[in-house]
Amino acid sequence: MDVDIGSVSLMDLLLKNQIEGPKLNGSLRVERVYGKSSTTRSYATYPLQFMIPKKALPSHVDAVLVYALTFGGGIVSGDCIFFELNVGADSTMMLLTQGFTNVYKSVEGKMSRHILKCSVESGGLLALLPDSVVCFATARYSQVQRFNLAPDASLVLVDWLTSGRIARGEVWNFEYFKSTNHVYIQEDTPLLLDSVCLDDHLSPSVSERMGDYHVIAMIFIYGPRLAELRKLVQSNVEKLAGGILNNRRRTSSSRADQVQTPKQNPSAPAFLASCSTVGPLGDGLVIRAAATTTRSMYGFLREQLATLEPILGRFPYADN
Amino acid sequence: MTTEQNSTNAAVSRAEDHNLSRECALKLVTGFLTDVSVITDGPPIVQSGSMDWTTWQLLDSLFPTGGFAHSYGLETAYQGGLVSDCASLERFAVNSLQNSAGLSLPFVFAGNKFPNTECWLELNKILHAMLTNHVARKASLTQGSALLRTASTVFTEFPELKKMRACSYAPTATTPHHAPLFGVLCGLLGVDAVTAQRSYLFMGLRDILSAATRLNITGPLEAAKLQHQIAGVTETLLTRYANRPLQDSYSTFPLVDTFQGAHDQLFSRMFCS
Repeated sequence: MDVDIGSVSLMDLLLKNQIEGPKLNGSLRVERVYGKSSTTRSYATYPLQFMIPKKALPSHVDAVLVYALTFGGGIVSGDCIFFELNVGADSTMMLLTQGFTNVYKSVEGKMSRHILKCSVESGGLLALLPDSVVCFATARYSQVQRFNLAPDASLVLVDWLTSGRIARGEVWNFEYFKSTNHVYIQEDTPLLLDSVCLDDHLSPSVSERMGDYHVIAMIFIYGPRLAELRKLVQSNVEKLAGGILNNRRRTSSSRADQVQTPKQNPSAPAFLASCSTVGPLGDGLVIRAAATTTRSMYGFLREQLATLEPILGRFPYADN
Repeated sequence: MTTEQNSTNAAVSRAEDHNLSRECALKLVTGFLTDVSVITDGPPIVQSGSMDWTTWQLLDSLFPTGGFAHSYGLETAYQGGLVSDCASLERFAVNSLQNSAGLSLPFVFAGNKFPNTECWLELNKILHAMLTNHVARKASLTQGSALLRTASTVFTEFPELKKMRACSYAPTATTPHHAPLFGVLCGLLGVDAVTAQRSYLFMGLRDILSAATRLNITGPLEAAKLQHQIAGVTETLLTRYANRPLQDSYSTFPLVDTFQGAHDQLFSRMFCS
């Protein structure tokens, strides 16, 4: 009871042990050089690799496109991939992956870890648009992503997970998955502290919790350069959710009229998304979506993020 | 034998089960025993009971904190088809309680251990950024405000509550969230940490099942039966999720956030969240 926590802020306690210890595998910095976003630092060690294709984007677009690759297309048990991204003032970086991030089977209960620290300076934009994480049966995965933003920096972040290798019958069969996304404004004001943990050792099990859904996604949009996108996505998602829920409502009320007939099996919608604004000024938007197929989630992401094309030079998730 | 004699005999045999002599039992049930001390064992009543009264009052539906205006996402889940009958209701309730245990109990625990205004403000700020679903966030804020208003009026012996109330009026107003404030209140009242966390889950279950009966998913008798069944499960959740530090606070049921976040889009709705 008499522990003095006055000297240690609770915020420090919150992140303690989450980002410390592991060796840095890579670091990448993009800055504005002669009026154009350019890579000024790129360093990566095994098993991480950055691929920065030249001329991949139309010449009128000011952005650096980076693929973050890992040998083996994923993270093996016991490995920790830890890298930093730094976006300088008024520059733009888009980080993609070349496919799903596979999290392989856990050996001797070891965890696969992914740690990412990002900072975006004034007027900069970071777009983190990876393909989904796929956890194999018995996999253990922990992901921590921390973003330090200048008040007028911009960020679009997609973080998503599928149920596993469905074709092999692995549906929500992993042992442990935890994803933490912390977004701070100027290092100390928390804007979004999002943490989801799916631990299969606990009852109810993950598959009991997820029901018929195979894909869950979280999308976060913040900043002046994405203000239009944010408003557009918000209105789209609200319309979409209203349509899905209220059309069901009418059919279910007509069913309720026939009280004598036995109730049908619970049939939740195949896709649902909802959104919430965050931050004191409501200038951040969190979208959460659940889908029964990866294809429908790709479709949703493609549709909602299409207006990023003028800024990033390509349509996100267009190839999937 | 008359009916009256019959019932007296029954009562006497019941009293005999409590190891009272037949003579004493007869006196007791016929009203001649005035010295109650022969049938009480254990600690004196005054010492053991006062804390129970406090805990029960916090959990009583008469304590006006507005919990019954919220369905914890059940209304959207019901209209969306995720919940359609008693079995899916039970699944939803257990999943939601687990989510609430994973996310909120560290705040109840921390509030209970450090029941002062400075810690409370910090906890409140962190929880505000952690509640990423605006419907759940609003529900937590309205219940927290109602709890602070009620608590500062009822428990006048704690100046800390007045101080916290003043913070919610200050120019940089802090609107209180429910979980940390409930923890702080329990801490001030001397309710131990585990009881505080158990009580928090009790309220969650109570509010979900109360919403379920009003949404006509289940009847009041069936809801009471569910409450009894789920109580055991909740106790298991408590052994896993109680007394955890803040950095272990996370949600475990992302579907509830997806559904509940769309609450405002429901064409017709009964609950605030």
